Amino acid sequence: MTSSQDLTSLTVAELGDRMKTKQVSPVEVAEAFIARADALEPTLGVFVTRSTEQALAAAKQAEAEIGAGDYKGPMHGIPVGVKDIYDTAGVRTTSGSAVYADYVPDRDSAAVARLREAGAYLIGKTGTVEFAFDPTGRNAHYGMPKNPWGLDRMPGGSSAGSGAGTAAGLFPISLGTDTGGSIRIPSALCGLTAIKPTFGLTSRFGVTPLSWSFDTVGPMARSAEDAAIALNVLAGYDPEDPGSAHSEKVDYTHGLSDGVRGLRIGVPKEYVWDVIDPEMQAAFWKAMSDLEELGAVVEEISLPELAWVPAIAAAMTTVEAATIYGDLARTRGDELDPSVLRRVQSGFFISGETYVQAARARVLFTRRMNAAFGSVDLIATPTVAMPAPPHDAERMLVGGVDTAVREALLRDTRIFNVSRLPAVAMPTGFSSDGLPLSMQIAAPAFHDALALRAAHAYQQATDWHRARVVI
Amino acid sequence: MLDISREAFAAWAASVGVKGDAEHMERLRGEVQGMMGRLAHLDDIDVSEVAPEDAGLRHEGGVA
Repeated sequence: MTSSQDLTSLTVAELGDRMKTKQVSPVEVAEAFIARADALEPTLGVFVTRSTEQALAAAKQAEAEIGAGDYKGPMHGIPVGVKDIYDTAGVRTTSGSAVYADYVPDRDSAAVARLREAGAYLIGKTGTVEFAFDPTGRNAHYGMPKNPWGLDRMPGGSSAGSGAGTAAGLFPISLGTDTGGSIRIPSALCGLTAIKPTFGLTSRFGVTPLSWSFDTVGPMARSAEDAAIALNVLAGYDPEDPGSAHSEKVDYTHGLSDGVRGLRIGVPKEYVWDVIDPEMQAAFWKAMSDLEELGAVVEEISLPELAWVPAIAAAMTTVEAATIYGDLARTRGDELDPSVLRRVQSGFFISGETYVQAARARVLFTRRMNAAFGSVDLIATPTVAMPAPPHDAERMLVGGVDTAVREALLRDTRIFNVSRLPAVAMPTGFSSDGLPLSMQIAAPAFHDALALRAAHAYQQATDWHRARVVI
Repeated sequence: MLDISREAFAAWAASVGVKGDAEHMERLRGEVQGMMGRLAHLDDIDVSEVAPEDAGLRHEGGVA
Protein backbone atom coordinates (compact mmCIF):
# COMPACT_ATOMS: atom_id res chain seq x y z
CA MET A 1 0.00 0.00 0.00
CA THR A 2 1.34 3.40 -0.96
CA SER A 3 0.17 6.47 0.94
CA SER A 4 -1.07 9.62 -0.82
CA GLN A 5 2.02 11.50 0.35
CA ASP A 6 4.24 8.80 -1.12
CA LEU A 7 2.44 8.89 -4.46
CA THR A 8 3.00 12.62 -4.86
CA SER A 9 6.71 12.18 -4.28
CA LEU A 10 7.15 9.59 -7.04
CA THR A 11 8.49 10.19 -10.53
CA VAL A 12 6.48 9.61 -13.69
CA ALA A 13 8.47 6.42 -14.32
CA GLU A 14 7.67 5.14 -10.84
CA LEU A 15 3.98 6.09 -11.04
CA GLY A 16 3.69 4.60 -14.53
CA ASP A 17 5.21 1.34 -13.40
CA ARG A 18 2.84 1.11 -10.42
CA MET A 19 -0.19 1.84 -12.59
CA LYS A 20 0.89 -0.58 -15.31
CA THR A 21 1.29 -3.37 -12.77
CA LYS A 22 -1.94 -2.30 -11.03
CA GLN A 23 -0.26 -1.70 -7.67
CA VAL A 24 -2.02 1.63 -7.70
CA SER A 25 -4.93 2.93 -9.73
CA PRO A 26 -4.98 6.12 -11.86
CA VAL A 27 -7.86 7.41 -9.72
CA GLU A 28 -5.78 6.98 -6.56
CA VAL A 29 -2.98 8.88 -8.26
CA ALA A 30 -5.30 11.69 -9.30
CA GLU A 31 -6.86 11.92 -5.85
CA ALA A 32 -3.45 12.07 -4.19
CA PHE A 33 -2.24 14.96 -6.34
CA ILE A 34 -5.57 16.79 -6.08
CA ALA A 35 -5.50 16.47 -2.29
CA ARG A 36 -1.95 17.82 -2.16
CA ALA A 37 -2.95 20.71 -4.41
CA ASP A 38 -5.96 21.42 -2.18
CA ALA A 39 -3.64 21.61 0.80
CA LEU A 40 -0.80 23.63 -0.71
CA GLU A 41 -2.35 25.86 -3.37
CA PRO A 42 -3.42 28.53 -0.86
CA THR A 43 0.23 28.83 0.20
CA LEU A 44 1.96 28.46 -3.16
CA GLY A 45 -0.41 30.02 -5.71
CA VAL A 46 0.71 27.66 -8.48
CA PHE A 47 -2.47 27.56 -10.55
CA VAL A 48 -4.33 30.10 -12.63
CA THR A 49 -7.11 27.60 -13.31
CA ARG A 50 -7.58 24.15 -11.83
CA SER A 51 -9.39 21.43 -13.78
CA THR A 52 -10.11 18.97 -11.00
CA GLU A 53 -13.33 17.50 -12.38
CA GLN A 54 -11.81 16.95 -15.82
CA ALA A 55 -8.76 15.39 -14.18
CA LEU A 56 -10.83 12.93 -12.19
CA ALA A 57 -12.86 12.00 -15.27
CA ALA A 58 -9.65 11.43 -17.26
CA ALA A 59 -8.20 9.34 -14.43
CA LYS A 60 -11.32 7.16 -14.40
CA GLN A 61 -11.01 6.71 -18.15
CA ALA A 62 -7.33 5.76 -17.77
CA GLU A 63 -8.28 3.30 -15.06
CA ALA A 64 -10.83 1.65 -17.35
CA GLU A 65 -8.37 1.52 -20.25
CA ILE A 66 -5.56 0.03 -18.22
CA GLY A 67 -7.99 -2.39 -16.59
CA ALA A 68 -9.06 -3.52 -20.06
CA GLY A 69 -5.45 -4.14 -21.06
CA ASP A 70 -5.13 -1.00 -23.19
CA TYR A 71 -1.97 0.40 -21.56
CA LYS A 72 -0.63 3.27 -23.65
CA GLY A 73 2.76 3.75 -22.03
CA PRO A 74 4.41 5.48 -19.09
CA MET A 75 2.44 8.73 -19.44
CA HIS A 76 -0.87 6.86 -19.19
CA GLY A 77 -2.77 8.10 -16.13
CA ILE A 78 -0.24 10.85 -15.35
CA PRO A 79 -1.56 14.29 -14.27
CA VAL A 80 0.27 17.18 -15.94
CA GLY A 81 0.48 20.83 -14.95
CA VAL A 82 0.35 22.94 -18.09
CA LYS A 83 1.73 26.45 -18.39
CA ASP A 84 -1.12 28.83 -19.03
CA ILE A 85 0.07 29.78 -22.50
CA TYR A 86 -0.82 26.36 -23.98
CA ASP A 87 -4.27 26.21 -25.52
CA THR A 88 -6.44 23.65 -23.73
CA ALA A 89 -9.82 22.80 -25.20
CA GLY A 90 -12.58 23.92 -22.87
CA VAL A 91 -10.20 25.29 -20.21
CA ARG A 92 -9.32 28.97 -20.29
CA THR A 93 -5.89 30.06 -21.42
CA THR A 94 -5.04 33.50 -20.09
CA SER A 95 -1.39 33.71 -21.24
CA GLY A 96 -0.92 35.38 -17.87
CA SER A 97 -2.77 38.41 -19.19
CA ALA A 98 -5.91 40.20 -18.04
CA VAL A 99 -6.67 40.79 -21.72
CA TYR A 100 -7.23 37.06 -22.21
CA ALA A 101 -8.78 36.34 -18.81
CA ASP A 102 -11.88 34.81 -20.41
CA TYR A 103 -10.35 33.17 -23.48
CA VAL A 104 -11.40 29.52 -23.71
CA PRO A 105 -9.84 27.69 -26.68
CA ASP A 106 -11.90 25.12 -28.53
CA ARG A 107 -8.86 23.11 -29.52
CA ASP A 108 -5.81 21.75 -27.70
CA SER A 109 -2.30 22.90 -28.49
CA ALA A 110 -0.29 20.19 -30.25
CA ALA A 111 1.70 19.35 -27.11
CA VAL A 112 -1.40 18.94 -24.95
CA ALA A 113 -3.08 16.87 -27.66
CA ARG A 114 -0.06 14.57 -27.83
CA LEU A 115 -0.06 14.16 -24.06
CA ARG A 116 -3.75 13.30 -24.06
CA GLU A 117 -3.18 10.72 -26.83
CA ALA A 118 -0.55 9.17 -24.58
CA GLY A 119 -3.11 8.87 -21.79
CA ALA A 120 -1.94 11.82 -19.68
CA TYR A 121 -4.36 14.53 -18.54
CA LEU A 122 -4.49 18.15 -17.47
CA ILE A 123 -4.68 18.80 -13.73
CA GLY A 124 -4.53 22.58 -14.05
CA LYS A 125 -3.13 25.62 -15.84
CA THR A 126 -0.06 26.97 -14.13
CA GLY A 127 1.01 30.54 -13.49
CA THR A 128 3.20 32.32 -16.00
CA VAL A 129 4.59 35.75 -16.57
CA GLU A 130 2.32 37.68 -18.96
CA PHE A 131 3.14 36.41 -22.48
CA ALA A 132 6.08 34.55 -20.87
CA PHE A 133 8.14 37.73 -21.07
CA ASP A 134 10.31 37.68 -17.92
CA PRO A 135 12.55 35.20 -16.06
CA THR A 136 11.48 36.05 -12.50
CA GLY A 137 7.96 34.62 -12.40
CA ARG A 138 6.26 37.90 -11.52
CA ASN A 139 2.73 38.56 -12.72
CA ALA A 140 0.77 41.71 -11.84
CA HIS A 141 -2.58 40.09 -12.68
CA TYR A 142 -2.46 36.60 -11.19
CA GLY A 143 0.41 36.86 -8.71
CA MET A 144 3.78 35.16 -8.59
CA PRO A 145 3.82 31.51 -7.47
CA LYS A 146 5.98 30.92 -4.42
CA ASN A 147 9.14 28.87 -4.56
CA PRO A 148 8.47 25.83 -2.33
CA TRP A 149 12.15 25.71 -1.30
CA GLY A 150 11.92 29.23 0.12
CA LEU A 151 8.54 30.93 0.28
CA ASP A 152 10.18 34.36 0.23
CA ARG A 153 12.11 33.47 -2.95
CA MET A 154 11.12 33.82 -6.57
CA PRO A 155 10.33 30.57 -8.40
CA GLY A 156 11.89 31.76 -11.62
CA GLY A 157 10.03 32.15 -14.85
CA SER A 158 8.43 32.47 -17.02
CA SER A 159 7.13 28.91 -16.40
CA ALA A 160 6.81 29.77 -12.72
CA GLY A 161 3.78 27.70 -11.72
CA SER A 162 5.05 24.65 -13.59
CA GLY A 163 8.33 24.90 -11.68
CA ALA A 164 6.84 25.51 -8.24
CA GLY A 165 4.06 22.96 -8.70
CA THR A 166 6.28 20.13 -9.91
CA ALA A 167 8.75 20.78 -7.10
CA ALA A 168 5.99 20.82 -4.48
CA GLY A 169 4.39 17.61 -5.76
CA LEU A 170 1.13 19.16 -7.00
CA PHE A 171 1.77 17.19 -10.20
CA PRO A 172 4.70 14.95 -11.15
CA ILE A 173 5.53 16.69 -14.42
CA SER A 174 4.59 19.84 -16.27
CA LEU A 175 4.88 21.71 -19.53
CA GLY A 176 6.90 24.89 -19.85
CA THR A 177 8.21 26.96 -22.70
CA ASP A 178 11.72 28.32 -23.15
CA THR A 179 12.52 31.48 -25.11
CA GLY A 180 15.50 32.69 -23.08
CA GLY A 181 15.50 30.10 -20.31
CA SER A 182 11.88 29.91 -19.17
CA ILE A 183 11.95 26.13 -18.73
CA ARG A 184 15.45 25.89 -17.25
CA ILE A 185 15.39 28.95 -14.96
CA PRO A 186 12.39 27.87 -12.83
CA SER A 187 13.69 24.30 -12.96
CA ALA A 188 17.04 25.49 -11.60
CA LEU A 189 15.48 27.65 -8.89
CA CYS A 190 12.99 24.94 -7.88
CA GLY A 191 15.30 21.89 -8.07
CA LEU A 192 13.88 20.19 -11.16
CA THR A 193 15.27 18.36 -14.18
CA ALA A 194 14.09 19.70 -17.50
CA ILE A 195 15.00 19.87 -21.14
CA LYS A 196 14.83 22.73 -23.56
CA PRO A 197 14.76 20.62 -26.70
CA THR A 198 16.45 21.52 -29.95
CA PHE A 199 14.52 24.35 -31.62
CA GLY A 200 12.03 22.75 -34.00
CA LEU A 201 11.90 19.34 -32.31
CA THR A 202 8.63 20.00 -30.46
CA SER A 203 5.54 21.68 -31.88
CA ARG A 204 4.51 25.14 -30.72
CA PHE A 205 1.13 24.98 -32.41
CA GLY A 206 -1.48 26.44 -30.06
CA VAL A 207 1.11 28.02 -27.75
CA THR A 208 1.00 31.78 -27.20
CA PRO A 209 4.08 33.14 -28.95
CA LEU A 210 6.68 35.50 -27.59
CA SER A 211 9.55 35.25 -30.09
CA TRP A 212 9.09 33.01 -33.10
CA SER A 213 12.74 32.25 -33.69
CA PHE A 214 13.41 31.32 -30.03
CA ASP A 215 10.20 29.85 -28.53
CA THR A 216 10.60 26.16 -27.61
CA VAL A 217 8.22 23.71 -25.94
CA GLY A 218 9.43 21.16 -23.38
CA PRO A 219 8.80 19.19 -20.18
CA MET A 220 9.75 20.08 -16.61
CA ALA A 221 10.27 16.99 -14.50
CA ARG A 222 11.87 15.42 -11.48
CA SER A 223 14.41 13.30 -13.32
CA ALA A 224 16.13 12.99 -16.67
CA GLU A 225 14.27 9.73 -17.18
CA ASP A 226 10.91 11.51 -16.80
CA ALA A 227 12.01 14.25 -19.19
CA ALA A 228 12.93 11.56 -21.73
CA ILE A 229 9.57 9.83 -21.28
CA ALA A 230 7.74 13.09 -21.91
CA LEU A 231 9.94 14.05 -24.86
CA ASN A 232 9.04 10.75 -26.50
CA VAL A 233 5.47 12.02 -26.57
CA LEU A 234 6.17 15.65 -27.44
CA ALA A 235 8.83 15.35 -30.15
CA GLY A 236 7.94 15.10 -33.80
CA TYR A 237 7.23 17.11 -36.92
CA ASP A 238 4.06 19.21 -37.00
CA PRO A 239 3.07 20.97 -40.23
CA GLU A 240 1.02 23.43 -38.17
CA ASP A 241 4.20 24.89 -36.63
CA PRO A 242 6.27 26.73 -39.28
CA GLY A 243 9.40 26.23 -37.17
CA SER A 244 8.89 22.47 -36.85
CA ALA A 245 11.71 20.30 -38.15
CA HIS A 246 11.57 17.00 -40.02
CA SER A 247 13.71 15.32 -37.39
CA GLU A 248 14.54 11.66 -37.13
CA LYS A 249 12.21 9.67 -34.84
CA VAL A 250 14.11 8.87 -31.65
CA ASP A 251 13.27 6.91 -28.50
CA TYR A 252 14.70 9.22 -25.84
CA THR A 253 14.60 6.49 -23.20
CA HIS A 254 16.62 4.11 -25.35
CA GLY A 255 20.29 4.30 -24.42
CA LEU A 256 19.51 6.45 -21.42
CA SER A 257 21.57 4.11 -19.24
CA ASP A 258 24.59 3.93 -21.55
CA GLY A 259 26.59 6.15 -19.21
CA VAL A 260 29.17 8.82 -19.94
CA ARG A 261 32.36 6.78 -20.16
CA GLY A 262 34.53 8.29 -22.84
CA LEU A 263 32.26 11.27 -23.48
CA ARG A 264 34.09 14.59 -23.67
CA ILE A 265 32.42 17.43 -21.78
CA GLY A 266 33.55 20.95 -22.60
CA VAL A 267 33.31 23.72 -20.03
CA PRO A 268 33.67 27.25 -21.42
CA LYS A 269 36.40 29.20 -19.73
CA GLU A 270 34.94 32.61 -20.62
CA TYR A 271 31.77 34.58 -19.81
CA VAL A 272 29.98 32.11 -17.52
CA TRP A 273 32.34 32.83 -14.63
CA ASP A 274 32.10 36.63 -14.84
CA VAL A 275 28.87 36.58 -12.82
CA ILE A 276 28.56 33.48 -10.64
CA ASP A 277 27.59 32.67 -7.07
CA PRO A 278 30.43 30.81 -5.30
CA GLU A 279 28.17 27.98 -4.09
CA MET A 280 26.71 27.54 -7.58
CA GLN A 281 30.23 27.42 -8.97
CA ALA A 282 31.48 24.94 -6.38
CA ALA A 283 28.50 22.63 -6.96
CA PHE A 284 29.11 22.78 -10.71
CA TRP A 285 32.75 21.69 -10.40
CA LYS A 286 31.78 18.96 -7.95
CA ALA A 287 29.32 17.71 -10.55
CA MET A 288 32.06 17.76 -13.20
CA SER A 289 34.23 15.75 -10.81
CA ASP A 290 31.37 13.27 -10.33
CA LEU A 291 31.04 12.89 -14.10
CA GLU A 292 34.79 12.34 -14.41
CA GLU A 293 34.51 9.55 -11.86
CA LEU A 294 31.88 8.02 -14.12
CA GLY A 295 34.37 8.03 -16.99
CA ALA A 296 33.67 11.33 -18.74
CA VAL A 297 36.53 13.55 -19.82
CA VAL A 298 36.00 17.14 -18.70
CA GLU A 299 38.02 19.82 -20.43
CA GLU A 300 38.01 23.58 -20.71
CA ILE A 301 37.09 25.03 -24.06
CA SER A 302 37.43 28.56 -25.35
CA LEU A 303 34.25 30.26 -26.57
CA PRO A 304 34.85 34.01 -26.44
CA GLU A 305 31.77 34.49 -28.62
CA LEU A 306 29.62 33.76 -25.56
CA ALA A 307 29.95 37.46 -24.80
CA TRP A 308 27.71 38.12 -27.80
CA VAL A 309 24.76 36.25 -26.31
CA PRO A 310 23.00 38.99 -24.28
CA ALA A 311 22.98 41.43 -27.20
CA ILE A 312 21.83 38.91 -29.80
CA ALA A 313 19.08 37.55 -27.58
CA ALA A 314 17.89 40.96 -26.41
CA ALA A 315 17.73 42.45 -29.90
CA MET A 316 15.93 39.54 -31.51
CA THR A 317 13.47 38.54 -28.81
CA THR A 318 12.51 42.13 -28.01
CA VAL A 319 11.84 43.01 -31.66
CA GLU A 320 9.91 39.79 -32.24
CA ALA A 321 7.83 40.35 -29.09
CA ALA A 322 7.14 43.94 -30.16
CA THR A 323 6.05 42.66 -33.56
CA ILE A 324 3.61 40.24 -31.93
CA TYR A 325 2.31 42.48 -29.13
CA GLY A 326 2.88 45.96 -30.57
CA ASP A 327 -0.74 46.52 -31.55
CA LEU A 328 -1.92 45.35 -28.13
CA ALA A 329 0.57 47.65 -26.42
CA ARG A 330 -0.68 50.59 -28.47
CA THR A 331 -4.40 49.93 -28.07
CA ARG A 332 -4.75 48.24 -24.67
CA GLY A 333 -1.46 49.01 -22.99
CA ASP A 334 -3.18 50.09 -19.80
CA GLU A 335 -4.45 46.52 -19.36
CA LEU A 336 -0.97 44.96 -19.53
CA ASP A 337 1.45 44.40 -16.67
CA PRO A 338 3.40 47.69 -16.71
CA SER A 339 6.76 45.92 -16.76
CA VAL A 340 5.70 43.72 -19.68
CA LEU A 341 4.32 46.77 -21.50
CA ARG A 342 7.70 48.50 -21.14
CA ARG A 343 9.51 45.45 -22.42
CA VAL A 344 7.26 45.27 -25.48
CA GLN A 345 7.61 48.99 -26.10
CA SER A 346 11.40 48.70 -25.88
CA GLY A 347 11.26 46.77 -29.12
CA PHE A 348 9.91 49.84 -30.93
CA PHE A 349 13.26 51.54 -30.38
CA ILE A 350 15.40 48.84 -32.05
CA SER A 351 16.13 49.47 -35.72
CA GLY A 352 15.68 46.96 -38.49
CA GLU A 353 19.39 47.17 -39.17
CA THR A 354 20.15 46.18 -35.57
CA TYR A 355 17.78 43.21 -35.78
CA VAL A 356 19.47 41.94 -38.94
CA GLN A 357 22.92 42.50 -37.43
CA ALA A 358 21.80 40.37 -34.46
CA ALA A 359 20.39 37.70 -36.77
CA ARG A 360 23.67 37.53 -38.70
CA ALA A 361 25.64 37.39 -35.46
CA ARG A 362 23.35 34.58 -34.32
CA VAL A 363 24.24 32.49 -37.38
CA LEU A 364 27.92 33.14 -36.74
CA PHE A 365 27.53 32.26 -33.06
CA THR A 366 25.73 29.03 -33.94
CA ARG A 367 28.55 28.09 -36.30
CA ARG A 368 31.07 28.66 -33.50
CA MET A 369 29.03 26.51 -31.13
CA ASN A 370 28.68 23.76 -33.72
CA ALA A 371 32.43 23.94 -34.32
CA ALA A 372 33.04 23.49 -30.60
CA PHE A 373 31.26 20.17 -30.87
CA GLY A 374 34.06 19.05 -33.14
CA SER A 375 36.27 18.62 -30.08
CA VAL A 376 33.72 17.76 -27.37
CA ASP A 377 30.48 15.76 -27.21
CA LEU A 378 28.70 17.96 -24.68
CA ILE A 379 28.98 21.46 -23.23
CA ALA A 380 28.22 22.12 -19.56
CA THR A 381 27.68 25.31 -17.56
CA PRO A 382 25.78 26.29 -14.45
CA THR A 383 22.12 26.80 -15.44
CA VAL A 384 21.79 30.14 -13.67
CA ALA A 385 24.28 32.43 -11.97
CA MET A 386 22.76 32.18 -8.50
CA PRO A 387 20.16 30.33 -6.41
CA ALA A 388 16.62 31.72 -6.13
CA PRO A 389 16.76 35.45 -5.31
CA PRO A 390 14.33 37.12 -2.87
CA HIS A 391 10.95 37.47 -4.56
CA ASP A 392 11.16 41.26 -4.88
CA ALA A 393 14.84 41.58 -5.81
CA GLU A 394 15.68 43.78 -8.79
CA ARG A 395 19.45 43.90 -8.34
CA MET A 396 21.80 41.84 -6.19
CA LEU A 397 25.42 41.01 -5.63
CA VAL A 398 26.33 37.77 -7.37
CA GLY A 399 29.85 36.65 -6.63
CA GLY A 400 30.67 40.24 -5.70
CA VAL A 401 29.24 41.68 -8.92
CA ASP A 402 26.31 44.09 -8.68
CA THR A 403 23.93 42.82 -11.34
CA ALA A 404 20.31 43.07 -12.47
CA VAL A 405 18.52 39.92 -11.33
CA ARG A 406 16.79 39.54 -14.70
CA GLU A 407 20.06 39.58 -16.63
CA ALA A 408 21.77 37.27 -14.13
CA LEU A 409 18.99 34.71 -14.50
CA LEU A 410 19.11 34.78 -18.30
CA ARG A 411 22.81 35.05 -19.06
CA ASP A 412 23.68 31.34 -19.15
CA THR A 413 20.42 29.81 -20.36
CA ARG A 414 20.27 32.12 -23.38
CA ILE A 415 23.45 30.56 -24.77
CA PHE A 416 21.43 27.60 -25.96
CA ASN A 417 18.43 29.63 -27.13
CA VAL A 418 20.61 31.73 -29.39
CA SER A 419 22.29 28.57 -30.73
CA ARG A 420 19.00 26.60 -30.76
CA LEU A 421 20.73 23.64 -29.09
CA PRO A 422 19.19 21.17 -26.64
CA ALA A 423 20.07 21.69 -22.98
CA VAL A 424 19.11 19.70 -19.89
CA ALA A 425 19.00 21.47 -16.51
CA MET A 426 19.43 19.36 -13.39
CA PRO A 427 20.00 19.90 -9.67
CA THR A 428 23.56 19.75 -8.33
CA GLY A 429 22.98 20.34 -4.63
CA PHE A 430 21.76 22.97 -2.21
CA SER A 431 23.07 26.32 -1.06
CA SER A 432 23.77 27.03 2.60
CA ASP A 433 20.27 28.62 2.61
CA GLY A 434 18.74 25.34 1.46
CA LEU A 435 18.06 26.54 -2.09
CA PRO A 436 18.59 24.31 -5.13
CA LEU A 437 21.72 24.63 -7.27
CA SER A 438 21.77 23.57 -10.91
CA MET A 439 23.82 22.88 -14.01
CA GLN A 440 22.89 22.46 -17.66
CA ILE A 441 24.37 20.05 -20.17
CA ALA A 442 23.95 20.81 -23.87
CA ALA A 443 24.42 18.64 -26.93
CA PRO A 444 24.60 19.19 -30.69
CA ALA A 445 21.35 20.00 -32.48
CA PHE A 446 18.90 17.07 -32.47
CA HIS A 447 21.15 15.09 -30.14
CA ASP A 448 18.78 15.72 -27.24
CA ALA A 449 19.08 12.06 -26.28
CA LEU A 450 22.79 12.49 -25.60
CA ALA A 451 22.20 15.36 -23.16
CA LEU A 452 19.51 13.32 -21.41
CA ARG A 453 21.85 10.31 -21.23
CA ALA A 454 24.54 12.38 -19.51
CA ALA A 455 21.97 13.81 -17.08
CA HIS A 456 20.66 10.33 -16.32
CA ALA A 457 24.17 9.02 -15.70
CA TYR A 458 24.77 11.87 -13.25
CA GLN A 459 21.47 11.15 -11.52
CA GLN A 460 22.28 7.46 -11.16
CA ALA A 461 25.34 8.47 -9.16
CA THR A 462 23.80 11.33 -7.13
CA ASP A 463 20.62 11.94 -5.17
CA TRP A 464 20.01 15.67 -5.62
CA HIS A 465 17.06 15.11 -7.95
CA ARG A 466 15.42 12.85 -5.37
CA ALA A 467 15.20 15.58 -2.72
CA ARG A 468 11.58 16.47 -1.96
CA VAL A 469 10.60 19.70 -0.31
CA VAL A 470 8.77 19.64 3.03
CA ILE A 471 6.16 22.39 3.34
CA MET B 1 24.85 52.80 -19.52
CA LEU B 2 24.03 54.87 -22.58
CA ASP B 3 22.75 58.34 -21.60
CA ILE B 4 19.64 59.49 -23.42
CA SER B 5 18.32 62.83 -22.21
CA ARG B 6 14.66 63.12 -21.27
CA GLU B 7 14.07 65.50 -24.15
CA ALA B 8 15.77 63.27 -26.69
CA PHE B 9 13.91 60.24 -25.39
CA ALA B 10 10.56 62.03 -25.50
CA ALA B 11 11.13 62.93 -29.14
CA TRP B 12 12.30 59.41 -30.00
CA ALA B 13 9.32 57.88 -28.18
CA ALA B 14 6.91 60.13 -30.02
CA SER B 15 8.46 59.11 -33.34
CA VAL B 16 7.74 55.42 -32.63
CA GLY B 17 4.27 56.10 -31.26
CA VAL B 18 4.95 55.51 -27.56
CA LYS B 19 3.28 57.65 -24.96
CA GLY B 20 2.45 57.37 -21.29
CA ASP B 21 2.51 59.16 -17.98
CA ALA B 22 5.72 60.67 -16.66
CA GLU B 23 6.54 57.76 -14.37
CA HIS B 24 6.04 55.19 -17.12
CA MET B 25 8.11 57.17 -19.59
CA GLU B 26 10.93 57.61 -17.09
CA ARG B 27 11.06 53.88 -16.35
CA LEU B 28 10.89 53.11 -20.05
CA ARG B 29 13.74 55.54 -20.66
CA GLY B 30 15.87 53.64 -18.13
CA GLU B 31 14.98 50.34 -19.74
CA VAL B 32 15.75 51.54 -23.26
CA GLN B 33 19.03 53.07 -22.13
CA GLY B 34 20.10 49.78 -20.58
CA MET B 35 19.05 47.82 -23.65
CA MET B 36 20.79 50.15 -26.07
CA GLY B 37 23.95 49.84 -24.01
CA ARG B 38 23.83 46.07 -24.40
CA LEU B 39 22.99 46.21 -28.10
CA ALA B 40 25.95 48.48 -28.78
CA HIS B 41 28.14 45.37 -28.51
CA LEU B 42 26.56 44.06 -31.71
CA ASP B 43 28.46 46.66 -33.69
CA ASP B 44 31.74 45.06 -32.58
CA ILE B 45 30.88 41.72 -34.20
CA ASP B 46 32.26 41.17 -37.68
CA VAL B 47 29.38 39.40 -39.42
CA SER B 48 30.79 39.75 -42.94
CA GLU B 49 30.96 35.98 -43.40
CA VAL B 50 27.16 35.75 -43.01
CA ALA B 51 25.17 37.28 -45.84
CA PRO B 52 22.02 39.08 -44.66
CA GLU B 53 19.88 36.69 -46.68
CA ASP B 54 21.42 33.77 -44.78
CA ALA B 55 20.30 35.15 -41.44
CA GLY B 56 16.74 33.91 -41.61
CA LEU B 57 14.94 31.12 -39.78
CA ARG B 58 16.84 27.97 -40.55
CA HIS B 59 18.91 25.40 -38.75
CA GLU B 60 22.69 25.60 -38.77
CA GLY B 61 24.45 22.28 -38.55
CA GLY B 62 21.50 20.19 -37.44
CA VAL B 63 20.12 17.15 -39.19
CA ALA B 64 16.77 18.77 -39.92
